[in-house]
Amino acid sequence: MADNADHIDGDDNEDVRAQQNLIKIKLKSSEGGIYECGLTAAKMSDLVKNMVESLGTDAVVTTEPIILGNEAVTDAALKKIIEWVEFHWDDPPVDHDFEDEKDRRNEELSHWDKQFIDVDDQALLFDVIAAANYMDIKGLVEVGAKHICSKIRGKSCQEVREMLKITNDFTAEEEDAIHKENAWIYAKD
Amino acid sequence: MSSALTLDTLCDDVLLTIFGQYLDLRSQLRVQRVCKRFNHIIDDVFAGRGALVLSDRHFGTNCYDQNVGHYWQQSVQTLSEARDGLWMRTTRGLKLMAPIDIQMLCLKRYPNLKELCLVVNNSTNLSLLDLIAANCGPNVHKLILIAGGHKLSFTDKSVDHFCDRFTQLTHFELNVCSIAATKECFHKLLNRFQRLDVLKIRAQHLFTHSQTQDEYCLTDECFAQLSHRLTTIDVSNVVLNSQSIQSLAQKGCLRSVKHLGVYKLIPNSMQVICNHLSGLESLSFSMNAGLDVRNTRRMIGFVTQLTDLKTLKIVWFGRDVGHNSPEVCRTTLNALKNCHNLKTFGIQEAVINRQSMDDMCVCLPVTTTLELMNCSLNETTFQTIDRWLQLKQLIVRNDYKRVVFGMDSTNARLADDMTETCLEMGLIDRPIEAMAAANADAVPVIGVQNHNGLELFDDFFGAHIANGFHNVVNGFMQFDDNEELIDFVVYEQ
Repeated sequence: MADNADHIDGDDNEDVRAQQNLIKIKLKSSEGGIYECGLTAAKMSDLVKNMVESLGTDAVVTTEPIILGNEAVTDAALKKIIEWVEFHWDDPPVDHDFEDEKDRRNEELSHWDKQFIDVDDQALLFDVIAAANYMDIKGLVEVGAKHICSKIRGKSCQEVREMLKITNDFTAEEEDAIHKENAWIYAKD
Repeated sequence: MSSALTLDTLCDDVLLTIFGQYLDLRSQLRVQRVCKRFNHIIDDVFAGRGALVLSDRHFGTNCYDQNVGHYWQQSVQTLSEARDGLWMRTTRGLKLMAPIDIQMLCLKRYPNLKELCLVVNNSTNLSLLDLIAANCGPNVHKLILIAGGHKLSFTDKSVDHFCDRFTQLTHFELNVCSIAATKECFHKLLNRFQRLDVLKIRAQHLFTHSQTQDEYCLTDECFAQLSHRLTTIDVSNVVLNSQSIQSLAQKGCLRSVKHLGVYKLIPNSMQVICNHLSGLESLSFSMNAGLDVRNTRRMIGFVTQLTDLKTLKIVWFGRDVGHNSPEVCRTTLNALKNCHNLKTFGIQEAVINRQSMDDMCVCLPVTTTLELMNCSLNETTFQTIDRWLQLKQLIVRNDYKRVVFGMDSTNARLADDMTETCLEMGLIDRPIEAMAAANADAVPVIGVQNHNGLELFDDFFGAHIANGFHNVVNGFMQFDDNEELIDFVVYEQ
């Protein structure tokens, strides 16, 4: 048992990570649905990782579902998230080094990620991002952020409003004031 | 599901991350107009941003390129996590209609700045101090003002404003062509900053309203109250001569000074400095042109009495270090063997030939790093390359595009080769290859630190003035085919 606990902590080793992913744990959505997920994959979520580590042993982990109470974690969103972590669990660990961070932000999404995140149902998209944020899955939040930004980029205000179904709550004067303040940047818009 | 619900799922924090980190500036500004909630979030993005690099690439005629958002974003990210500061520059005033306005607009957008570096060039009739005081947040503790090409006028009122605004200032640096102000103004300017710790003033001309250039107005009186707090004084072209230093030191004013930069020293002034400022850790001075071997020996002899000295930099002003009198160079170097704590020996603005390079490699203590700043090297210098290994480390820095390898750019290939060789030999403190790869046009120089100087200073300053801020910014510059500076990235040292 002690060995297993050690394994849970030390996940640098690729083999160990692969082996651990064979262990299935249960995640429970805020709507009550219970879904299975590989341990290594699930631990991409810092929230789950902390929970698992505080529980300590595999035995406990595999029997009791981990409850994700945030309302953004709907059944549909959780299914999406499990799909994502199961695909990405063996990614090389991300170095949050300053230089890399910069490059990564400018990097294009992979083909798989693009397909994954490009869902028609906007409510689901936002749920996935919010849930990923709640579960502290940095990589997935990033995918969502990049996707939204790629949609926003190059669109006019009105187009952004239409896309995100936002009502303009500015008065004409207010909007004008902001526009004036930033006039220099729109010179050729 | 209703639309309102959809967006509410995402809390402000997530949106802040999304908009702040993954959107370019132009999109951010557009998003700001979408709705009130977004407006607040973008405001938070701006308020929370610690640092920025703004160059005319972002604002000037080129500013509206499709790519600009990208450039902008990159620069922001380079610094944003490094420091709380705002670095602004406009290189050439000529084509830009709005740089100073825009700079001020930006200042308003970032009310919580802690560091500010303003580079204003070629702007006329500006009451710069007033503008900055009116637009900049009060939390700035490091302020660097580089204003080339025009005369700065300080009036009583503007100085008052300025001092009232920036009560937190600990680091004040002024790089200007000329300053006109009354003695009282200077007095006030320097003494109202209660927390000042670092003072650097570089100006070609510093004169009072009487317009007589000879009458320098930054006198020791101005320093009297202030200087006992300062740890760094670097005042080039400002007369702070041996008498001033002596009288200040006798009043106990310079006790806390650890870094001193003074110019045009004669052996006597050096003696005064060394007697009174025995705790100096870094000293930078210019070698007087007429100095012979005997006087050099005397001068360096005094320097060696500074037992805590870690950094020594000598400005040679474009002369061949060893040519006229190899003895001067050798004497200097030999004397340095007695400076046991010396970590860095720097030579600035000099021509380094084979002989002097050879001497430096042989004579410098093995624990000392050699730093060549804005020096001119040529092929013969590199013939000594196998001796370079005797140095602890060699750093070659350059403010200008072409100086390193002689005065023409035909040696770019040589530069490449040498850079490679030096990297292999581990002589260079930080490799530049990554930068070069990311920016194919980036200037290949040995060493890493490199900042603009060409555009900004050629017309207005002598070479030595540009040295002033290699301590402040490091980075690299990028030129296009017409040798126009197109991008510039700075790193905090």
